[in-house]
Amino acid sequence: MHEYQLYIDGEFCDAADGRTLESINPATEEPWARAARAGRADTERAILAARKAFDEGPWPRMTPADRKRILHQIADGLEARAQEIAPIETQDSGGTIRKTSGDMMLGVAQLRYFGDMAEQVPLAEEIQVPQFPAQSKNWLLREPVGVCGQIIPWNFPLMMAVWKIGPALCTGNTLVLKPASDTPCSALELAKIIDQTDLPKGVFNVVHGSGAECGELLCTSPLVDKVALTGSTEVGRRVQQLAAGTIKKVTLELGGKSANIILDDADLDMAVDGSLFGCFFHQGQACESGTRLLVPERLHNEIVARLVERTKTLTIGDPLDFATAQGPLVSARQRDSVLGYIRAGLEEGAKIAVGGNRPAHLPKGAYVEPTIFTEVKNSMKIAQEEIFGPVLVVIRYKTIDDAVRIANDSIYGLGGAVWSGDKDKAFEVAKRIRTGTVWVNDYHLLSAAAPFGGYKQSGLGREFGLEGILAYTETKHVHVDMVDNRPAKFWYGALFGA
Amino acid sequence: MTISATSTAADLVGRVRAANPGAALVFVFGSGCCEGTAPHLFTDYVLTPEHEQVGMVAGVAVHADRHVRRLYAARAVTLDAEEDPAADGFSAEIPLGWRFVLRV
Repeated sequence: MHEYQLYIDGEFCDAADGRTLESINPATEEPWARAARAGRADTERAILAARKAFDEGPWPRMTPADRKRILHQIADGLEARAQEIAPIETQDSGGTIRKTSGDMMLGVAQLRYFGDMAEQVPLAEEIQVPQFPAQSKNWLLREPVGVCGQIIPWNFPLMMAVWKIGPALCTGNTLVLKPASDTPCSALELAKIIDQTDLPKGVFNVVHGSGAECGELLCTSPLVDKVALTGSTEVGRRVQQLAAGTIKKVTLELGGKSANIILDDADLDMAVDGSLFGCFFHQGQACESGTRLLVPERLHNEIVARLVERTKTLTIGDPLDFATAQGPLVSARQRDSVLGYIRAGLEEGAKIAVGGNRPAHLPKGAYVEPTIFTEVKNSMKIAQEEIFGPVLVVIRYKTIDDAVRIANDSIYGLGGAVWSGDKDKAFEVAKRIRTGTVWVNDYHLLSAAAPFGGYKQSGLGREFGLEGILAYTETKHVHVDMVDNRPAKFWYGALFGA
Repeated sequence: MTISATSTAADLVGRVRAANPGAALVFVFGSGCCEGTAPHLFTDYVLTPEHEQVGMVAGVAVHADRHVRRLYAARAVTLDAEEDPAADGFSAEIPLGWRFVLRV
């Protein structure tokens, strides 16, 4: 059994009340690791450590070159242990070893991007302002926000940690990271790596506990300056409300029900495989998955036949086996939630083209067959709610205007795609979808250099890119008087008289 | 949309109330993602103009936004509770090692 402790103020430690939580491997439904379970007292201590490290420690005042060097140390440390941590994450989360191995490589690349950006973020710029009434020089300074509370979900445990800590550390912030209860191990492995770097004590802290205990305190503590969440829309609303009490800066990356539109001139070989990749990658447990597939009426039957044929080639089973395409969902709870959505789809009159059950050959484990629904109306529950499982709904459209209307008929706006042989035409459709990311003839390819986030109830702010990094800075204006002459300062007459 | 509750859920509401004296409690629903349609029991929650009360459980108002009301328009849903020390989320019962669940 793997054992994990919390990481607070540069030390690994047990929870103050001694609580631990077993982590269940969703492939076997057996416990495989045990981690300390943080409560409010541990979270308070972690916040205090981060506060002290920010107010009194060297980190926010280090040079960008030093921050770059240390972020690269973390990237190097992750790279050196990638083959060891990938199977840990697979056992913790159920993600296939193909997926978690890729996540390690992406995490390394993203950490290096944020490291390099430490020297490229414009931290001091002279700005031009009208020279009336005063001659002056004006500077725009970007400074770290302060202490950041960061709450991450269970679907991409390592990458979500990197997405949060990368921009925060790049700009000199300190942080308390709260991994999801189901998947604490990657963040705590990252703590082991960081512990071996030159990052000063207290800058990076990990508390593994519930949202109601640890998360709520991160959102309400007056010692925390910013909170960032990746999670559901309802929890995002709660986080924003709790953070309002102390006017924290808030970044939210929330749910999605993204539309994936195949136009009638698309290369169907590519569009069919791309659409399945867009929905079934990681068993559909990605917030920006293309879960609503919009197809032209005249191609509907051909596309569905191809989707079914290709879905049947996907192997479901042991996520540690590199031959496996589909592993289990994160937990039995999530499996049951997804099966509930499948039942709801049938009750509302949708038809299952393939899948719809637990796999017959896997009586144990949180597995659900990749499932495709047809005869779906966009108003159905399975077309409006984010199922967070391997469930694709196929919706027919008559015209491009019709497809755009259906795509936008959602409370969400996070991802989406357009498939076409005419990229200019696809680009025009992409512009009409109210969503944060649109791929043309591809899916899921996010870049650390490109902003990612949601329209509508899919979120607030952006992660990645310069925009995502600046979200971890405060903007200061410094006005430097160039008049140097009291009598010339006629505007003081507003107080002293002419 | 009609709401009923099991006695387990009602008892758990009472324990949350005892743990949060004076707090205004309200139930709202998730709309998918990590927690599915999980019910959330929040203290001092700011409802949106789109929320409407759809029932009462153990003296606590249950509110649903327009989206959820439309999805469950013709359904009878039951609020239940399960012991779950591994539960995550911000719902007020979680520190007690339990969580509310929705049976549709």
